[in-house]
Amino acid sequence: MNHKIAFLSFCTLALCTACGNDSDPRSSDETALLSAPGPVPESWYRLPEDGPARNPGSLDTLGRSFEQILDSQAEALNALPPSPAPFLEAGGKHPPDWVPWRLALFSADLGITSNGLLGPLVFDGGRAVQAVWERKDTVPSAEKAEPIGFRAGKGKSDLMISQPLSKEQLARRLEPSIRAALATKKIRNESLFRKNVLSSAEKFNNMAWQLSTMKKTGMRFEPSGFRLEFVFGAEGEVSPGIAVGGEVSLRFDWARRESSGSVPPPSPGAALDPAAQKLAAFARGVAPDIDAAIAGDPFLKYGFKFDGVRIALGAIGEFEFGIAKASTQVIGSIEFSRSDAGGAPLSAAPATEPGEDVLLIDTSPAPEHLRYAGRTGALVAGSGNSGTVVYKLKHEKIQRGLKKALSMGSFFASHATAPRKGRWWLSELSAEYSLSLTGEAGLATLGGLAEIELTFAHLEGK
Amino acid sequence: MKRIGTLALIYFSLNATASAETFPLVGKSTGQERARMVGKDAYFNLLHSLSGTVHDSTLPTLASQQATASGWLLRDVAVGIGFALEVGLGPIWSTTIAPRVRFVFSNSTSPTLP
Repeated sequence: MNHKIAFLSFCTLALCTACGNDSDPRSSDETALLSAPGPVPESWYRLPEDGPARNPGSLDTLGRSFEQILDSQAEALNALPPSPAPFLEAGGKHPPDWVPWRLALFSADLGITSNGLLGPLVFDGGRAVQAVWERKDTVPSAEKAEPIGFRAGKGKSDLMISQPLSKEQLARRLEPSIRAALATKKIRNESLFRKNVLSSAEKFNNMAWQLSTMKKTGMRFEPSGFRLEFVFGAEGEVSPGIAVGGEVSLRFDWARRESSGSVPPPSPGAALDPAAQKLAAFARGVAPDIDAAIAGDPFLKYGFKFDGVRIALGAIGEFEFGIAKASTQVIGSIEFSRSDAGGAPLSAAPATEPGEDVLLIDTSPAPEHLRYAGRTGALVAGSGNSGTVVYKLKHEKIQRGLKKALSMGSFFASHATAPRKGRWWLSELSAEYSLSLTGEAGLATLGGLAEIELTFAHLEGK
Repeated sequence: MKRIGTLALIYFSLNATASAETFPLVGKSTGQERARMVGKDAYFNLLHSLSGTVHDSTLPTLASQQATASGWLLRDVAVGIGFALEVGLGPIWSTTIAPRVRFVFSNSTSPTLP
């Protein structure tokens, strides 16, 4: 059993900095709580373009409040009865990693209100049960190895690959999702739909292969996961992006696995695929920024391991990748994990030549953000008819934003280290951050609420 | 003057103690951002009841699931909580709200959050 606790900070850089708050932030319930303990510093969730941050918060009381929440959650889980060994599935063949059913993980969200109150997040309405099924016998043996880095993004994937597949393999893997999509009756032109699904998968295959070739380039952070969404219209036409209703959306995922030797290209022309080359260039540009930001490994002293960063992707034109500014504009994500599997503490990053500026893509810019960009001289690189605005960020700004995100993460990590007796331990702490035009970072908010996710794992579960 | 100082000290001490034992539940209800203070014990009682109920009702159901010959195997199941916050606390607001927590049951050595 690996007792090392992983700190997972996926920086979905640019998830919604200024989504409209549809409520009065000072509702009657909250007005009575203005003096409540532990306000989060406003600068942690408010970006410069959204207005000046005034409330400095109170880190002492915030830390105590956070610890009380963790204690309550761990104690509640530890009070559960031990795993019921007699519960065994009857009959059938089981894969090697099969164990009797047990409660393995517990996940809870914390929310931060517009006034900086941190607490367990509640919601109104029910929530469905989600289930993950796995094919028993068709997964190639090479894919049964442990994935590298942290887990892939959440949600159902229509295609999960870890090594380049042939056209026939792709078609076979995609067939269940294609049939499910056709069953929705949203697609009128089945043949074009099938053709475009397959060509999109081949393009994704090429991109994934390009990322897999970056394994041995000497970078301390390397791509470990990649997700892209494709949207298909009624006539089967395809575009990368987010379905806004009426269309069919398919999600493709790649996760790096350890493999021996170099991975051959999926097709002779894969190395020349422009989209794959652009993605690789983006990854090569951002990886050193992560390396520079994490130097010094601030989490080790708290018993956490920094696992990696997930960056939200946007795109303009034909797969010109950049960081998406808001959650509604995310077409996918790319994850970076430590190439050394988190062994030794990270020292200072080796100096690298700064690459080209990184694009920050905003497909629906708020007027106040544009005004702020104008006042501060943030370079607007392009503005098309669609209203899309592209800011160019210098690498030092990306690094500054990452450092600030990591310092916020280290605050929570520092208060999660208190020993808690029992079989349940906080195994992951993750948060999403927005990236400002200025390079500042803040906890991402959606509808006024920022969220932090806590995951407890059962130590005896394995 | 000394008495005022002592009273102030007691006041701030009590206030600090209370702060350390309470925290807000936050969320949205009918489109409005909300926050309501709860004590640590009350929150523990709520989670304890919820986790016990989910644990005791879900595991036998999953364990009785027969391995089929279909070629597919159920590996991870996440159960979200969606009933009223009336366990141990009484209604927090007039509407039905629930802690946003998920319990992941797995028969795999590498469980994932669905």
